[in-house]
Amino acid sequence: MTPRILLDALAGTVVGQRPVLEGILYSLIAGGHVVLEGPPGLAKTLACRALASAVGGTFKRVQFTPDLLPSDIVGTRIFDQSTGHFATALGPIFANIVLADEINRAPAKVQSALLEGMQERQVTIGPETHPLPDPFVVTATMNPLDSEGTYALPLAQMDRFLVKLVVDYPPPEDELRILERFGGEPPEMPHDVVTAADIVRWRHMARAIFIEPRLLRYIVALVGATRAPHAYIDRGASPRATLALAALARARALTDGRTFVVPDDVRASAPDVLRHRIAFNYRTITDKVDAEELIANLIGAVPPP
Amino acid sequence: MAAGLALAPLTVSAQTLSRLRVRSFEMTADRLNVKVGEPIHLRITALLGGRIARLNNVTLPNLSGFDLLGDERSCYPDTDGGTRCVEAMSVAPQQAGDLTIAPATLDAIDARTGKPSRFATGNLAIKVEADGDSWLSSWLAALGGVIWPLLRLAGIVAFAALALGAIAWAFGRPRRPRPTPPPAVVVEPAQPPPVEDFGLLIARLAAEPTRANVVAVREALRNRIGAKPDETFGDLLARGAAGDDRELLAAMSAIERATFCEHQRLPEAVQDALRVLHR
Repeated sequence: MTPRILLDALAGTVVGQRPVLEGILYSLIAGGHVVLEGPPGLAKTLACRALASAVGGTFKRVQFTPDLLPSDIVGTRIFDQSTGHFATALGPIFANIVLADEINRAPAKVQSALLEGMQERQVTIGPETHPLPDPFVVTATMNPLDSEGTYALPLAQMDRFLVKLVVDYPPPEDELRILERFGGEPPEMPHDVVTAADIVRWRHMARAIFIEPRLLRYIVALVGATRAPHAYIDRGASPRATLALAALARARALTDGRTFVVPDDVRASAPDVLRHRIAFNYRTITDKVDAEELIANLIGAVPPP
Repeated sequence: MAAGLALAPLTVSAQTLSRLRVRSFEMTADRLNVKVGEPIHLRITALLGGRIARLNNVTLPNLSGFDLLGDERSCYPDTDGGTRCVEAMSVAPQQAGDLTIAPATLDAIDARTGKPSRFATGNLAIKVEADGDSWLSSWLAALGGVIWPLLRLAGIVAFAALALGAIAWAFGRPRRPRPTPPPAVVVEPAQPPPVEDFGLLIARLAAEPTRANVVAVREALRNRIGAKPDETFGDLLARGAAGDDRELLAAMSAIERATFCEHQRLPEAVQDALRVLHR
């Protein structure tokens, strides 16, 4: 059972968006969380649902709103009159795949409750600490178009996400296939293609993937390039980005059936790892600079080994 | 492009003012000549004695005639134990003409005198041209109808004199033998490393299957197919650098594997690569 099977199963449900599906799969293997940014209606939720269904795990969706409370995410303690004791009602965070829809619509304390669980992989409710299931992946979505009434995630919180994937409009031929496939019928989900145990096994295999020392230096140089003085960058990516880039490159190599990383794995993973970890200053807006192009230029300026 | 500190006594209530030792207070712009709609980056910089976290009571200049595109304010420690506070603004002029940005002011209790004071930067004069206009066309337009015909007449006379001079020189000069053109310089195309060198590298790899020798063969192979330094194996495949040569493609793939594979698999990967390279 290889990760490629899961990728093909997802591609059977979600038309196009191959880089997004690959990004989600690589994050799943690398044990990281994903933030998806794109306008509504681009199959972000469908991709997450398909992943949960294909993995055979539990899936929960939380629609983030300004009036959401931390207990709506992690759970709460309820007094049981029949027993005279408090019972714990676990929140939707206790699932293998959690979709945090429009995460930037909830205030900071709710975002913190989710992000704490993402980092610690356990939640404390009252006096009890509950471990989260394994695998545990949060896929958060953000709509870049409507910024009114939103609470932007600080850089420190965005850093918790392994990758940020940009979901773009599909090309016309993909949109035609969407029409043909989903003409009124609900999309057909892949069921139990792999198990949660397979994911855990892939993670162990990915950790053993070899990275040659010259490639390790390439990874450090790529992340370091974001920290060099730049007219449009206030702060570059942290060492957490260095670790994330290595982990994602390993997942990519495993999916490709290799036991070692090649320069293409690193360079292809870099934009997804770096784009949410770089603090661009306001001049990128006033000078109408394309941040994606800026990142591509930074990556392109570092020669691969 | 900087306008510096001016000091005046302040008559307003001093109860809300901070006690500051203002070393300098100035406003600068990255450029003073722009076109309509082009951004100008303004910086209002205050150098203060001692450490402070934030700077209050700064009144920004009136920016009528400009669109405010963005601004940010930050204070950070300076190297000499002081603090540097910077208000950075990006503005874009809305119309052409000579625009003046009025001074920014900072109200504080001057730590040197103990009195409430107002510190002010100087003005900034910005020259704004209409979009698509240039200084040259403006200057030419300013020449007017009188100067232009005179210049044209002078130009015609000068041209006629030059033409007559050239004809006289052509007929009057002594004849010399026509020089033979120098032999054309033939630029040799960049040659791939000689086959002997490549063969030597392969022989060395066969004798010593080390990572360094694999890298040397990989570099030679990349040179032979004209790979650029920023091109990965994936890029080379995508642009069909090996053409239809399946053997070359197999060699590139095998060497790539040997370059990046695990240490314990290196001998096996080298043997695979050598088998393909010998073909």
